[in-house]
Amino acid sequence: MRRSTPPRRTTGALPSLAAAAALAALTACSSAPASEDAPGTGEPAAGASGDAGAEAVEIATVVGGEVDVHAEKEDAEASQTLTSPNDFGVDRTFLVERNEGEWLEVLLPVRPNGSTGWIRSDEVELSTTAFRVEIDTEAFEFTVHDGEEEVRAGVIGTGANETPTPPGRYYFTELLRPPDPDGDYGVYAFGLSGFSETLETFAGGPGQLAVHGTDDEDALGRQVSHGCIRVSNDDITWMAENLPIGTPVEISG
Amino acid sequence: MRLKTSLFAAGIAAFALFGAAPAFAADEPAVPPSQSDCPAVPVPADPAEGVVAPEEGVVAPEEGGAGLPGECAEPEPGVEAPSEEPSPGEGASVEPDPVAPEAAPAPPVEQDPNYTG
Repeated sequence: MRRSTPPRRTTGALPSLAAAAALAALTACSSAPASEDAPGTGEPAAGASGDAGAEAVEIATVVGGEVDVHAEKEDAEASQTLTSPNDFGVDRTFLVERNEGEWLEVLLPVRPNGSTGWIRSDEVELSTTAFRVEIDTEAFEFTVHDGEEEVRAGVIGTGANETPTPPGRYYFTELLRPPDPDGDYGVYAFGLSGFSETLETFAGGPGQLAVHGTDDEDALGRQVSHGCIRVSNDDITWMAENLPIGTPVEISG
Repeated sequence: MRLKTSLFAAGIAAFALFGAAPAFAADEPAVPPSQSDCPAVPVPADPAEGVVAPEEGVVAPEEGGAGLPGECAEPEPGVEAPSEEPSPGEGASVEPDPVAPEAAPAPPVEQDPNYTG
């Protein structure tokens, strides 16, 4: 935030040193340039930790064949190693929660939901997005924001009582196009970094959550799924054409 | 008589040196600056204003000095005005860190999902 400089006084001829000194004192309180937080200053990345702010977030994409994840930054030992690409053949991507220059704290696509870890910044390429998806399971609606602006909204289907959609902060991990657009997943499906808290596995997979399309309008506005968020095929097509991998998704309700 | 003349001349000289300076220069030193004391600030356009010409018989101030009050001679050779450019590290502009590029939508992978549905 910039502070205004006090107005300079026009004194005319002030021959005395005392008057000159007084003038210098009055104008000494010049505004210091506001220092912006530079990348890697230890500040939380915008939108981190549940704060659905309007600022852009950083996305980290692994550049090598794997990435070491550390429980604490500067730990000599990695707590786990994640391969890239992931199981769907998509480059491994993380949502950055905190950028400390050499180290990045990232949201992990592993159980339990909301897990974070530290990775080295030289193992990834960074990009940004101002998009974010907000899902309200109680209101059965989603909104997509681009910064401050709401750009898309629609109705959703959520998890059934026995298999609820768990609230939390997630991000898109990959975009799939099912061979059968009339199938259970619609025309597109965005995988999420979160998992069902009631199903350990499903359809041969690890119980991973997703936002996917459907041509069944009766499935919208209701609790019908095994945890996934269902949207219309039109809405998921718009998302597939506009939202990058790594887009944050906040689920509440 | 000679003493009175000398005293009178001294008084005239003193008046010329100290009493006839312009009003806005009242706080300046009474002793005319020597060559080495001259400030780098530009001097008034007409420093001779108000100076009374010495009467006949009065010994004029020595030549070769700073001359009339407020007037500075040419700076000594080798003397350079202080540079106004900031030294390296002081007030130097810092290159901003590069901004990460905006992520673009990714092409879909054609594959059967195994999500919870």
